[in-house]
Amino acid sequence: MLRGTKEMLKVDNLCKDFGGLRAVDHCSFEVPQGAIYGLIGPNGAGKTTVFNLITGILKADEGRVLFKGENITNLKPYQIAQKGLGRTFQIPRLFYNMTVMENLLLGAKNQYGENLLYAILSLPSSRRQQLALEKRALDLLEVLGISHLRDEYVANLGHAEQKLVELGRTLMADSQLILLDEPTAGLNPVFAGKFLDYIRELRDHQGKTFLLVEHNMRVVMNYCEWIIVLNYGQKIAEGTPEQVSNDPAVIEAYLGE
Amino acid sequence: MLPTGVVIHVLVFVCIYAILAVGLNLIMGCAALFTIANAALFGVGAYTSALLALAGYPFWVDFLAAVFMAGLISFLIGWPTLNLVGDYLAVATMGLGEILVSVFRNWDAVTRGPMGLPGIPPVKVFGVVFDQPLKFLFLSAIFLLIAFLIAERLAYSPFGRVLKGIREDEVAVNSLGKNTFRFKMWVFIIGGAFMGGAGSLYAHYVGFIDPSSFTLWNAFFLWLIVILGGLGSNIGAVLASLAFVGIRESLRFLGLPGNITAAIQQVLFGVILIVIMIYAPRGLIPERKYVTRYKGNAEGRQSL
Repeated sequence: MLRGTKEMLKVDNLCKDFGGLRAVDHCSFEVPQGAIYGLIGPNGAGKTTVFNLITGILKADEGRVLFKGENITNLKPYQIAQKGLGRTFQIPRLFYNMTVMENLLLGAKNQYGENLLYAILSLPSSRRQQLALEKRALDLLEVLGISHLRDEYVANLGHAEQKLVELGRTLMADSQLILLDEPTAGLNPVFAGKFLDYIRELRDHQGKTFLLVEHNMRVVMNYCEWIIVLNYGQKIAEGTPEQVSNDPAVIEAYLGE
Repeated sequence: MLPTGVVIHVLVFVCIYAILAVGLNLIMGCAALFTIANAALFGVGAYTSALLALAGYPFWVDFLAAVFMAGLISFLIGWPTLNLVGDYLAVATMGLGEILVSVFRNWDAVTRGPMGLPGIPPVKVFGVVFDQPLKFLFLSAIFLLIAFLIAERLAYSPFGRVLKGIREDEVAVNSLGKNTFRFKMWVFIIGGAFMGGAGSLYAHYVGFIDPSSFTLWNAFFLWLIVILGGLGSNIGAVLASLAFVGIRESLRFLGLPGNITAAIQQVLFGVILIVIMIYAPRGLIPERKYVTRYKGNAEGRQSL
């Protein structure tokens, strides 16, 4: 399954200026449902900026972002996340002085106890829901292999474990499309491979869609079905790993003339 | 040894300040919203309550009006400022808080300005008049208990978890689909309402209010209590109120001249602040750790 029929994400003619610098320049691409796509490019090519535009952290100057056919351009980040678009960050943005379990529980949407009245009265429906969420989080931690760390403060965890917590947190939110910003940065190759096998499994068994920014070319070539290459904010190529790695424009961007 | 009357008087103040501290702890300890408008909101509650009581309204009416008014003003302060972060929020709330104090000081027709409002009647509920300090201590202890229980529920609920998430990393909370502005606004209103309620009790207990009780020094005194008690810890806020209000009010009964007492107080608090920040940076009683409640085994699946 290279390209599904249903379109998950469509980026249409997106532009973003930082002062005089055009960070993203008329960038367009699509991600079908159930795919693992890669977004690559040299340092400063605008990859993370594209992520921040898609997730609403930055406002686009021009162009549109469609998620499942719906225009989500310039919605607030929480509104976009509520629609099922999750993300991780280049440097994990976790709740460091909270436990692993709390981090995962915070990911879950529509919790009764987030309503003031439910919280003060501590209604049974809310407590039942919390227990069910804890069970779900434990199952997830079990799969990720860190269930023994459930009550540990995240600040005390190693980098690899923190990456897993961040992924777990996004999964608790039932996101259908997950943007991964450098998922394997700082991980040893064996662990990075396991991490990406798990991503692939999530795609195969749960139909989740992934778009990842990556610097590690081995990862990109092995795990992404389709690659979009940015340079100076412009899309310079896209295609299968073979096509892209033989593209003269890409080779030039990475190696120079 | 201090006479019993003084001890009771001090304990009433401890209860009132503990309600303030617990309210501020929700805002500042849980959500890390560093507001300086707290003393002014205390004043909003006190003035609302005093004016209505002097106009002849019963206690429960002026108390609820004080709570509501402080909540409403919190909302109005929060609306333009809660998108600011850290120091900016502190500066903006300081300015708005000072505007409120200016209103107390200059709206002569209503607040009588610096002359203050004397003769605020004691609390009367179900025919019982709380005119003795001991009686009032019972009343304020009950209010403290209610405030404490509400704050505990909130701090350790999913609502409180979102607040603590905002404290840790607001961008991340937003990226999980939660409207952080809404949560910040609610905790601002709830915490402000606590302060309004405390103001009402204060006005009725002391019987006289003037703008000097609601100044910046009081705002920072509350900061001191919440920080030293342990950010995010309600029980810490209550115990720190006991310690600091105890010290502050007891010093007044030593019979020293006023200017010396004030100086001793500030030096003492400064030293205590430094010592605690060095030896117990998380406060006297740090925030309680969350422990997973679900005890069943997770499904055994192949792990990563």
